[in-house]
Amino acid sequence: MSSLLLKNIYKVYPSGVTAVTDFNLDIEDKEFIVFVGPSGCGKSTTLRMIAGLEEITDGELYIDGVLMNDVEPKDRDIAMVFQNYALYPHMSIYDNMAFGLKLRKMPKEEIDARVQEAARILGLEMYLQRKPKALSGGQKQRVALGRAIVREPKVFLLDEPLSNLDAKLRAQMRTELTKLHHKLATTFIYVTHDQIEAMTMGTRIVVMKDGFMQQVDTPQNLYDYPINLFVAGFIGTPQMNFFDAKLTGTPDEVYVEFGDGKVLLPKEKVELIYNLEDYLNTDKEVKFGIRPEDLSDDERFVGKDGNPVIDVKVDVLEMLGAETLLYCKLKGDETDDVVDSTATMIAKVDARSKSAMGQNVKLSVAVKHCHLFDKETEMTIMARNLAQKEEFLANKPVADAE
Amino acid sequence: MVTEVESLIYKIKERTGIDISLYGEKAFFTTKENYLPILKQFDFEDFLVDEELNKLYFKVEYKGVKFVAEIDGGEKEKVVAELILSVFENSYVKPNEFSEEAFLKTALEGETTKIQLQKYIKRKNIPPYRCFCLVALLGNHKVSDVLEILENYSSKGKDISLVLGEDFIVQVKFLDETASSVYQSPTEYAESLLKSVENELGYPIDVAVGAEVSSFLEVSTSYKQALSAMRMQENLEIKGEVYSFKGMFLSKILEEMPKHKIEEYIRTLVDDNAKTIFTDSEMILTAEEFLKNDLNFSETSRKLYLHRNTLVYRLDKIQKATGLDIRKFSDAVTFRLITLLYKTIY
Repeated sequence: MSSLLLKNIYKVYPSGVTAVTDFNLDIEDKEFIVFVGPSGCGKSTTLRMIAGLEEITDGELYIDGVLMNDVEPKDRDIAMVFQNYALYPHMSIYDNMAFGLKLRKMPKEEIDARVQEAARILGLEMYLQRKPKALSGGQKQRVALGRAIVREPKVFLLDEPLSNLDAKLRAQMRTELTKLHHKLATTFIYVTHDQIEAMTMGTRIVVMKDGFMQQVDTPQNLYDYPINLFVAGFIGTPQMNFFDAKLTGTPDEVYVEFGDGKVLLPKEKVELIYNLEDYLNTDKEVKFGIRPEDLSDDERFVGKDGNPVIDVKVDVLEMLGAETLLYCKLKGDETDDVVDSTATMIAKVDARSKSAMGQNVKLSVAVKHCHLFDKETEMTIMARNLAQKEEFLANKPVADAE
Repeated sequence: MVTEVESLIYKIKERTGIDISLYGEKAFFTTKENYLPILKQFDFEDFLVDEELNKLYFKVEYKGVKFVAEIDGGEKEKVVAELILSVFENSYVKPNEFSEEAFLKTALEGETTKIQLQKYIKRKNIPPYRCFCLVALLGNHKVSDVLEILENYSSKGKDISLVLGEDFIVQVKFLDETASSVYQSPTEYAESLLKSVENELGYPIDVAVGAEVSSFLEVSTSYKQALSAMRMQENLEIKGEVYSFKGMFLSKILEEMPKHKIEEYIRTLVDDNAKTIFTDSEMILTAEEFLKNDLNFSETSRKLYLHRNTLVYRLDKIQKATGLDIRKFSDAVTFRLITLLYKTIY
């Protein structure tokens, strides 16, 4: 058993800079939790607070129900793996893996058994007598992992461990880490700025920004139900297209109007909007979000699949082999500003697309997958399902409801 | 003692015919008749040549008291000066309490003469490799644990580790073939050490490194740089894993500039329009991340979770307001300088 509870955790540096604000998270045994976010969002600081390498300014950290705030790092039964392999160059791989245990005065036989077992798990048996410089980057990172495994810790903390590796090796190590997590059946907490690593490895992902936790959820839920604009933009490559929009029409027939585009919102989507009356035919603007993969230029379906159609002009075309990215401008947008991202929308279409640069094309919008956010608060205005909407409305403060 | 020093220079004159004058803090001795002191500049490294007056000056020490010695001649006479230095060195028995640790400490602080260092190198078989100094502040943590890890990073019998005070360790790392092939720079070495301490012992320490020097003879330069980097990170609150003198070199130069001069530069370089950028934390974060990632668009936008076009848009905005296109190396350097000027002042 190794569960963690982070309760109202804050990190404030002496200079007054707040790195982490009110961080709350309940991590269950054997979870693979990923902290993800841009540089300076507080993800590594949170990890270092769990490890005891940074003091917790305020809040409580529990491991297996025991308060850890004042427990020495070495007594927390935690092992860390960093981007820097930090291997001792003059020691063999065996000794590198055994060193931490020797420091803890463990009996020789026990050390040997643990090192051999870790080497077997990581496929390093053949390299135990070699020196680090004789290993590749991926093998060195495996030794660093081995050094953590031999300790048999309750929790593994991994701080961007794959950042030093090239793209191919990183992809390989991603699957190896996932397998390792299954083999060891221990709690992993992983920090990365790479959303692909987060999405492929995490059982749950914590998205952070400016020291605040934005959303905690499974990779699929983050993709399907982003809670705000930041999460929506962060999950998915290329990122979601956003348009300033207004909701018009009647409660039975709601349209999203953006630029020269106007699409009818499916009924099942309309039903999920928390406070439709706040937005329908009012001055309150929304952000309309649609993922590039939910746009299609396939002539066989455009106008025939029941989805609304918008007219765009293809500005730039990127062929990626398996798919093609169309960088488009909405009809009526005559700006020639290639660097203004707001003027551009991206469609991820089939590699056999016949669209060409400079061409006017029609795009089918899979509007059942669209997202709506309040422009001011940047929060989603749609519930995941009716039950959640009902719960939200039931818990709404009375004054607000009036 | 005065007579001892005087008798020493007279003895040298008697046997070699060389006239020597000694400039002390409060005294002047000379073997020449009716000769008055002429030296004005006492601040120099090992030797000072005055070609106009045909004089050679060098530093000597007698029983812990420092003097500047003067002989007639120029560059060629440096050999003679070395011999005189050696005579001074061996002219009295040094006290025994000058332990090896104490000697190393004075060597790091640059308080030993070149000849003393050369003797030490010979006696201790110090390798002739390039080297650098690493200093580590341990806080309340156990010195012996960190020392053990330091030892694991050492080439056996080559590197020197020294405990100076309760929480302060210095290592002189020699760049033999192994070290040079494993680490690209002192900073990379220090990062590995830092991570090992965090990994094995579970606590953070502060580590700073000086630049590489050509041999142990120049070790004090690297040591002073490492100390300076450690001090600067405290003053400037520069966040980093390892504090390196090279990394803080620009800050060091700016730190030594008079405050009014820095303010004058800021006034010249930053008009009201540019000020909107230098006071906008989002813009500064974007620019700094771009510089940190070696002006690489993809890496910067990935790290900041920005669309590449948004990054380009922001860089354009910076260019419009400041006149600096930080995509160009020269403008990037100017931008960095201005941000450091800001940090130094505000």
